[in-house]
Amino acid sequence: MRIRVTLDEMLHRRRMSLTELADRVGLTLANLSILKTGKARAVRFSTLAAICDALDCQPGDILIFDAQGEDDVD
Amino acid sequence: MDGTGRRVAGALNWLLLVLGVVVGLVGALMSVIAAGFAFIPAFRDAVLREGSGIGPAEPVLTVPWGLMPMALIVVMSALLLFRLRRVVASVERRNPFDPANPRHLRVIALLLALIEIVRWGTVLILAPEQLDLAEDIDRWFGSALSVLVVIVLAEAFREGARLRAEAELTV
Repeated sequence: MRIRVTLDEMLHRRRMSLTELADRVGLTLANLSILKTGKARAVRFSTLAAICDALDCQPGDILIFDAQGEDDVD
Repeated sequence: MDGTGRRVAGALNWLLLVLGVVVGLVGALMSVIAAGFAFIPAFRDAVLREGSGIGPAEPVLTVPWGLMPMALIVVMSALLLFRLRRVVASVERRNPFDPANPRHLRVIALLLALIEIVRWGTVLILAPEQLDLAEDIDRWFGSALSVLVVIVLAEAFREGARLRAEAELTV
């Protein structure tokens, strides 16, 4: 995946657990875990907005473009 | 899927199971008889002598060699029915875009093609006088069309499975 999710780092910086974020955002822990572990194939703008709101950050703070990463294979 | 759809899939599932078992048993029986004819001379002689006046003068070799491809076709038909049943079972489970379904459908297409090839090859080798080009072309066209339809369906199911996986991994 050429887009990397750095949600872990932001959670660490904000001293927030994944469970707490899940509660605040209204997502299931399973879905948030999919996002955190980089298994997600797509993120809805509404989800991104809710996460940024909860973590008080910008989308660029939790998503990184990695030019060396592998392309998605369908 | 609504309740009616599931009930239809459930009934079809049972029907395919029964058909698959019956055809499979017939195929197994035919295979045993064909093997007996081909490899056990005593069995062949006994059957031909005790038959309804066929007698050993009958061209013995045409019996086993004709029975073998027939048994093969029946066994392949049973395999086809079981593969089809697995697709129907996934529909009954409300999971039609199971990642295994495209593979089942590709195997079904392959079996359909093989059945036709074996049938035609058998007639060509054992009874070439029965070949009718016009009829064969008509039949090939029908078979090729069936195989193509199943391959297209397999691709549609593969795309469906991919889209479902993508939807599941959309957060």
